[in-house]
Amino acid sequence: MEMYIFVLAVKSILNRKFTIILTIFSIALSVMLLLGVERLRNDARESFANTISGTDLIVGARSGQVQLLLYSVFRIGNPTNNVSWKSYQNISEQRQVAWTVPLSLGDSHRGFRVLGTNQDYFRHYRYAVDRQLEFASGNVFEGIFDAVIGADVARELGYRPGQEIILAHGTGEVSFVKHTGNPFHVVGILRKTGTPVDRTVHVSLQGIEAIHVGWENGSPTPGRQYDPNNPQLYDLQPRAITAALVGLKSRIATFRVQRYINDYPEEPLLAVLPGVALQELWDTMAIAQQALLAISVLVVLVGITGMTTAILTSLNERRREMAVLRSVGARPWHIFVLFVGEAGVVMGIAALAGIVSLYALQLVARPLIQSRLGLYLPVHPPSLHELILLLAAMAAGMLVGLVPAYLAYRYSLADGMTIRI
Amino acid sequence: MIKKALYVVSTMLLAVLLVQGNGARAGLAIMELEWSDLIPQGYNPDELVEQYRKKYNIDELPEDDPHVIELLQKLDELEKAAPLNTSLDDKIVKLPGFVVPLETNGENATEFLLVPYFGACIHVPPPPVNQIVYVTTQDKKGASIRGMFDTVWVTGTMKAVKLSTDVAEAGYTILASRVEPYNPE
Amino acid sequence: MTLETDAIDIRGLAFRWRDSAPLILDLPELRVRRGESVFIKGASGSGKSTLLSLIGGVMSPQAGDVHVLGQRLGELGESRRDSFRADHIGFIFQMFNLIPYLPVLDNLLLPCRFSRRRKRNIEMRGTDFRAEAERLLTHLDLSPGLLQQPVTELSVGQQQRVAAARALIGNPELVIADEPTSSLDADRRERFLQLLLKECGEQNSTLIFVSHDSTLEPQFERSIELADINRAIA
Repeated sequence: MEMYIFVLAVKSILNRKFTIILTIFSIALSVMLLLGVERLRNDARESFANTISGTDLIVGARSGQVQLLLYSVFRIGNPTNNVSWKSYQNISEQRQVAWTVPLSLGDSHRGFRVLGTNQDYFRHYRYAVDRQLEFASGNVFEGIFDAVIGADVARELGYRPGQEIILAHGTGEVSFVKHTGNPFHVVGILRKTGTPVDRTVHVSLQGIEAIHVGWENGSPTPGRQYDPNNPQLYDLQPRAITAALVGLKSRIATFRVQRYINDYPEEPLLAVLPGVALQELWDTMAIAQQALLAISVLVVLVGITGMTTAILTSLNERRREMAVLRSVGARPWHIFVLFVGEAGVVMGIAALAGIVSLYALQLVARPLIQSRLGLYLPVHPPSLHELILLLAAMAAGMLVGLVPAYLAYRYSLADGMTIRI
Repeated sequence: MIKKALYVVSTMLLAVLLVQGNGARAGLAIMELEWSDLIPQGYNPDELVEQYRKKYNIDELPEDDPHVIELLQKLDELEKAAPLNTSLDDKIVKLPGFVVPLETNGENATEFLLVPYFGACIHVPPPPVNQIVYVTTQDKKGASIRGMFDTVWVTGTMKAVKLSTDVAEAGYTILASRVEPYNPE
Repeated sequence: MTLETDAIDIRGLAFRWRDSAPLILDLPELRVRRGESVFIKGASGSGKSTLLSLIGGVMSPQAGDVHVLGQRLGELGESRRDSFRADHIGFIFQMFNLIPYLPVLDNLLLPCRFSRRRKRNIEMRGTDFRAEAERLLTHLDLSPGLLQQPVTELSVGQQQRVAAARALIGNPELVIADEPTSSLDADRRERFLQLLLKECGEQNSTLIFVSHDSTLEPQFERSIELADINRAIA
C-alpha cells in the first residue's frame, strides 16, 4: 500500500516530463562538473607522480625548478639553454654519483618529441613505483640511426620495427625543415607506460649529432650533411646536452651534490630534486583546483535550487491533487513522501546521468589531454572520493527537497479535503 | 579478615601490574630528539669559525676572500668526516623537521629527507650530513604530506651507520612507524 | 457496531476557526439513519463544507461529539481518523475530483490503495478491481471503455460520474457529496442524482448531499436547512 505512493510519484513526474527533464539536465551537468574536477585533481596528480621514480636529481641549464622538470621529464615547454658535455662529465665523475643519463631535446617527428640519449636511459629510467621500461618488440638502439619509439607513437602512426622515419627540426607539430637526408629506422617499440615516454621517439646522442652536421649556423648548409658511407669524417661526440638524470649512491648526499651543481663555476646549472619540483608543481595546481572545486559545488547548489523551485512552483497547482488524495484516505505523511520521493527520483536520475556524461566526456577528451599535456588519465570506475562527493550532492538535493515536501504536508493538513478554488 | 586479605592481595597484584607496565613501556621508550642530539660530542665546527673570526675577522671579508674560501673548505672537510652520534643507532626516536619529498604522489611520500630548516640562503652550505635524516615509511602508502615546507614528527627506528668513506656518504636513516603533522605552538 | 446505530450522530457540536473567531457551527443535534439519503441546504458561508469536514474527521470540534457509524471520532487519533475515513467514507467534490496524471481506472481505484477494508470488500464479493470498476461505470451510465482514457479527455459530466464511482467503490457505508452537480449543466443534474441515488440504494450506503440548488431537493428522503439546525447563523 505504501508502495503506491512511489507509483504516484513516478506517474506524477512523467506527467511533468518536460520541466523535470530540464531540471535533471541541469543537475546532471553540475554533477558532471563536480566529479570531473575531483577526478582531474586526483588523476592528474597521480599521473604526474607516476612519470618518474628513482632519480635523485635532474640537471639542466639554470632556469626555474618546475620548468626544468616539465621539459626534461614531461616534454612540456622548452629549455632555455644547454649543459656542456664537459660539465656533464664532471658531474658524472663525482664520488657520490652512481649513474647519469644524458638527455638531448629539440627535434620532433610528426608532432612527437625526439629524445637523444644513450642506452643507460633504458637501464636507469623508472616510473610509477620503480617500474622499468620494457620492450614490446625489438630492442634498444645500437646503430647511429636506430630509433626506439614509445607505445603511443607506434599505435597512432602504425609503426612496426623496420619502419623508416624522418626527423624534423624543432618541437612544433609542424616543421618546415626536416632532416630528410638522414632517415632513422625503428628498431624497438616500448610497452605502454602511461607516461610521456609513450609519446617519445628515442634515438642515440650520436644520431642527434649526425643529423645536425652542417647546422653550425642554425640552418642546414646545402651539400654538407652526414654521409653514412664516410663515418670517419665526422666526430659525433656531443658537445652539449639539454639535461641529465642523476642517481646517487646515497640519498643523504642529495643536498651536497645539488649544491655542487648549483654552484658549478664553469657554467650556470640547476639541479632539482624531482620530488620537490613535483611538490611545487602540485602546490601551484592545488590552488587552481580548489577554486574549481568550490565553483562546482556552487553550481551543484544552483542546480538543486532550480529543482526545488520547480517543485515549489508546482506545489500550488497540486493542492487540489493533494486534497483529492486526502479524501481517498492518504495520510499527510503520504503527501510528504510523495514530494520527497520526487526529489529523490530526480536526484537519482541526475546523478546517474552525471556519471555517464563524465565518462563520455572523458573518453572524448582523453586523447587531447594526453597529447597536449602528456597526462595519461585512465577511465576508471568512481573512486571513493568521487562517490562521497556524489552522495553528498544527492543528500543535499534530498535535504533541500524536504522543504517543499514539508510545505505540502502542512497544506494537506490545513486544507483537509476542502478544495480551495 | 578475609576481606582484609583480599584487599592486600588485590593491591599487590595492581602494584605488580603497574610496575610491569612501566617496565614494558621503558623497553619501548621513544626518545624525543632535538637536532643538536644528532651532532656527537666533540664535533664543533663553531670553534673553527670562531678561530677564523678572531684571526681574520671574516665577518667583514667578502665572499671570495682567500681566507673565507679556506675556512669554507676546512668546514667542508670537517663535515666530510661525517661524524655521527652512533649511540642513536637502533633506537626508537621521535624527531620533528621539514620534509623534502623524494618519492611522492603529491599526497603521500614513501621516501623523504628530514631537515632542520628549509630554503636557506645560498651563502650558507646545505645542512651537514649529520643534520639530514633519510626517512622511509613502514606503511607502503607513505606518509601524508601537506605540501611544500610541511613539518612533521617522525617516529621510528633510527640507524646511524658510518660506512667506509669511499663508497658512499654515511648518514642517519629512520624507518618510520609514524609520521604526524607538526604544528608550531 | 450493530445495525441499529445511526450513520451519523452529532450532539452539542460547536466549532470556530480560532479562539477569537465567532462560532461557525452550533449544532445541538443531527442524526442520520443508515441508508438514508439526506439533502442539506444552505447558502454559501453557512458552514456546509465545515460540517462535512467535521463529519469526515478531517477537523475536530471544540465542543461536542461526532459519531460516525457508531464510532466517536473524538477518541481516535489523527492517524486513526484518517484510516477510518479511508475505510468508511467516500467523497465527491464540486469539481477537480480526479488526478490528472492518472487514467480513469487508477483514479477509480484510489480508495482501495489506501483502505485495506475497501479492497477486501471487493475481494470478498469474488470479483476483481477491474470488473468492479466496470460494473460501477456501467451503473452510472458510462462506457467501460473509458477506463483507459486519460482524465483530461472526459467531459465534466463524465468526470463527476467517475468521481461518484470512486466514492462508491469498495462499499463505504457513507457517501458525502459537496455540491457535486453545481458545475454540471442544468439538464444533466437530475440524471446524475438519479444514478447516484440508485447506486447508493443498491449498496445501502448513507448519502449526505450538500447543495444550494433546491430543484434537486424532492428526490431525497429527507431535507435539512442548515440554518434551521445551526444556532450559530446570525
